[in-house]
Amino acid sequence: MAELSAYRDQHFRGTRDELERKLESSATLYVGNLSFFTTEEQIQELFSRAGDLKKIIMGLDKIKKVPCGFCFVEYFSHEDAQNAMWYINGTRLDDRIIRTDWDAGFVEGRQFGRGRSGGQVRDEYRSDYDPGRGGYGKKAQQTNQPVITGPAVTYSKR
Amino acid sequence: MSREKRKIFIEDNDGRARKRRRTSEVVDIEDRLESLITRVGEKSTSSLESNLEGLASVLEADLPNYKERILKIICTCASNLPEKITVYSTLVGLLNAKNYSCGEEFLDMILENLKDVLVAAQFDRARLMVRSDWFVYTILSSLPWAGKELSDKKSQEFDQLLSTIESYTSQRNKNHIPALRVWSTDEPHPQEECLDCLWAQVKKLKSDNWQEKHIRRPYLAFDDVLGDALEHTLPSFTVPPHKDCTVYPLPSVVYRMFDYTDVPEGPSMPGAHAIERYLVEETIRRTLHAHFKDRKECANQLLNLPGNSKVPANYCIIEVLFSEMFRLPNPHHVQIFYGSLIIELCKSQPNTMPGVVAQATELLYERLDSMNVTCVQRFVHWFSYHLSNFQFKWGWDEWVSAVDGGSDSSQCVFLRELFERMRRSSYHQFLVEIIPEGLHCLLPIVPAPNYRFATEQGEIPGADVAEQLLEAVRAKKDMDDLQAILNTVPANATGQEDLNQDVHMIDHTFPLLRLEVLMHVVLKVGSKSFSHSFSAVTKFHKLLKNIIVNEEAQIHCLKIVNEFWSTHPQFMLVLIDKLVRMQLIDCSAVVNWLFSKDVKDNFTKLYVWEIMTSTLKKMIKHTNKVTGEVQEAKEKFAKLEEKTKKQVTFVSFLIQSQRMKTQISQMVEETIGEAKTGFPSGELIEKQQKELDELTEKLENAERAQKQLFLIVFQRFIMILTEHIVRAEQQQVDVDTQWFKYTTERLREVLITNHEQVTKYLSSLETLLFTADLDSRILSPFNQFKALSL
Repeated sequence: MAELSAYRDQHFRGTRDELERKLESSATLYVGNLSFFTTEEQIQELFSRAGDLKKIIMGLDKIKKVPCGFCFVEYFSHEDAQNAMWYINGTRLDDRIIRTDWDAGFVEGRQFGRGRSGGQVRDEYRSDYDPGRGGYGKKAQQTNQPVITGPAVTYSKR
Repeated sequence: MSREKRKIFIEDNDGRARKRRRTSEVVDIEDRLESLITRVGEKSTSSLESNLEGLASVLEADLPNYKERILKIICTCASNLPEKITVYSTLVGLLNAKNYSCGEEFLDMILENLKDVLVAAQFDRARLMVRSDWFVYTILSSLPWAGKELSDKKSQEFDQLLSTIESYTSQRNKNHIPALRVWSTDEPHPQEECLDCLWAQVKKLKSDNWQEKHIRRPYLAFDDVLGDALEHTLPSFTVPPHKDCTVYPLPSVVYRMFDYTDVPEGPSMPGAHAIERYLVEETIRRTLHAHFKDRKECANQLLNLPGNSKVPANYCIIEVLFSEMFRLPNPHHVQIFYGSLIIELCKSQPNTMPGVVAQATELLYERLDSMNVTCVQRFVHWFSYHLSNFQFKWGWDEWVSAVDGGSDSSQCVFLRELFERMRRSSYHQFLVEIIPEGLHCLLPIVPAPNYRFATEQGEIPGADVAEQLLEAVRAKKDMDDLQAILNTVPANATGQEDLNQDVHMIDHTFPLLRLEVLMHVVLKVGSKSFSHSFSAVTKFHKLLKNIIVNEEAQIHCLKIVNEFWSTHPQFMLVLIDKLVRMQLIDCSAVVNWLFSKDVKDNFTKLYVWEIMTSTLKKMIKHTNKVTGEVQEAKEKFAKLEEKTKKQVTFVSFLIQSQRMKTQISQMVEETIGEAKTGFPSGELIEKQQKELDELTEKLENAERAQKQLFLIVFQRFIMILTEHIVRAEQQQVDVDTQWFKYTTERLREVLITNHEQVTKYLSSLETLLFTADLDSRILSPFNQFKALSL
């Protein structure tokens, strides 16, 4: 199988062993480094190439409830998720190199960003300028850098 | 190969290695040996011969302590790294010269290995073909290596073998060939049957006196050493007998897109019948199968194959990749493997590879006219993916002339589908910006929901209820309230009453207008995204279930989906998938709907076949899943029965002893009691039996439904094609329209891509559907399919 990466969900409820076991038979992937503007339809188009998708769960800013640059994709089978790990991880979606990682399975609440400002933690402290992810990081924005706002209310509209 | 990768690769083939490794400190030495052996023959500063000689003496020293391990590694390498087979045969020869017994052990080991592989039917890891075909193929494919020796030393027997093959190949039934061809014409490249082509290549090799330029033969340098060594007699080898469950490789057709004129510089492309062409293709193919789990490593291996300097390697690699991607009936691997590998190759060689890929794309585009519809679909699928990784940059201006050929030309059809897929991975406005205006007529329409009861549509039947229903949903009313609102639409209302009062109404078996109102509202509520739709359908499941009472209602429901999302095929596909999985709609209803006049005219569009394929696949997957469950339950049950038998013997044994030794009867009785409870009780067995019975029934149902589904598909195909022929003949117009061509090719596609399933229904199909009185144009795809599976 595609080897597990070093990442582990720090909020996982259960023992380390349970987590490892779940990861090895999982059919769910975490997908990171998405643009805030990337839609579910684009994700479906790419990830369905690796197998039948059960569902896509968009990662949302926990305050504004708009996409904040990650999602979970759940396949019907482990093998299909494996294909995605082999062939989609590290390729482009919406012109960004995305990262996929095994996930122990979606649990309600995990769709929300864990950063203080509502988005992902990585967007708190970033110092680079990333127009697909709201410009500068939140911290840097406070020091009067130009701000690019995220998408409008829903994620299906461009 | 990176060190890490190589380790995994070896361990995959030898699970025992891991355990042993942990237990002792020989780890380092074994690792070192493994690394030395797997790496020999890779690029190196010194010559291959001196590397081999060096390795042989290192190994000789380690042989006393690590013989089994060393032989195992060589054995694994020889069978998994075929491009280096001659390297390993030389190595074994050298070791044999130094240590006679190890040669023998190696032979035993590799023959044992071969037998296992044959029994497991892993023919070249799934290169499948009929048994006799496969034997001939195996012999022919060994001749580039052994032909010279055989003709020198056993010329009479060898000639006899070759003439047997000659007569065999000339007598083979080749009716299946048309079904496996990517192009319908032999211009510019003939598409021969694989075995025929290999035979031609071997004949050419023979006429060249078995001289070829591709295989490395390091053993030649060691002629004296090897010649002096004692020979082993090859133990006789019997091929395991045929069993019914053995599946042989399906025949295939050679795929060629380049010849020497396509390669501007560097070494020239070997001709179609040069054995070198076969050897280089075979090496590439084997590399793909060996490294499909790691696209980066695969690309790296492909770009560094030993023979690459003698051929235009990039052209050969791309040609083989497309041949695998277009392989009929089905590719070996999921299509995205080939796509992601091509991207990787382009990234590794940014100065040369993208040009070759572009040249290949242009060739495919030019030859679209004669390309098999199934392959056109794969071409669209791949190219949209490829472009999405390169910012959709392409020489679009050069393709503007496509519209001059009329909007029905193969190029326009291709571009329309390509743009649709590109839209799915980007967005509409983006396409408008990057595609030249000349091609805008081929862009998809802006996808938008089409809600029938919108206020601007004016008063249409059902609009008021739809409005109330929407408001109630927004106010979060419960399902009973919603049902009550919906029920204000009379059950027999069709929405047509006012318009056609005199017209005789067709009686519907379900509340038609009610269904339309409800479906439109559900779709509208969920129109923001797939997720929104999924939760809407889940929320309204009960209401929908109450109305969608039969197949007629199911088909009507699909019609509404089509009306609502006609501008958004991807939405339709995802939604229909969901409705089937939620068991609101049966697979057979989807098929019947696809053949209805609603969709029939769109047969030349790809989304129709996406829906068809995904529907059939769901059915097959379901049946396979239940088959697995039954198998599992059977095994469980057998184990239980085994245990029960033991219990019976044990208990009767105890009873006997009880009779004999009454004095300890008390104790024995207790033991009996324990034994009885410790073993499975009759109750448990009964429960298991019941479970098994239920599963068996479930499987029978699934199998029946699957057979029914395929029969419906083929029946509808035959009906629709026959209708077309009859109508065209009555109107005295050409039968051979584009629609007809597409539809017959799709019929063939459904037959051959599902051959494993369809073969089971062969006799029903022959007696009920594909009868001799059918038009030959409908019958021929079926005959090709038959030739393929027999």
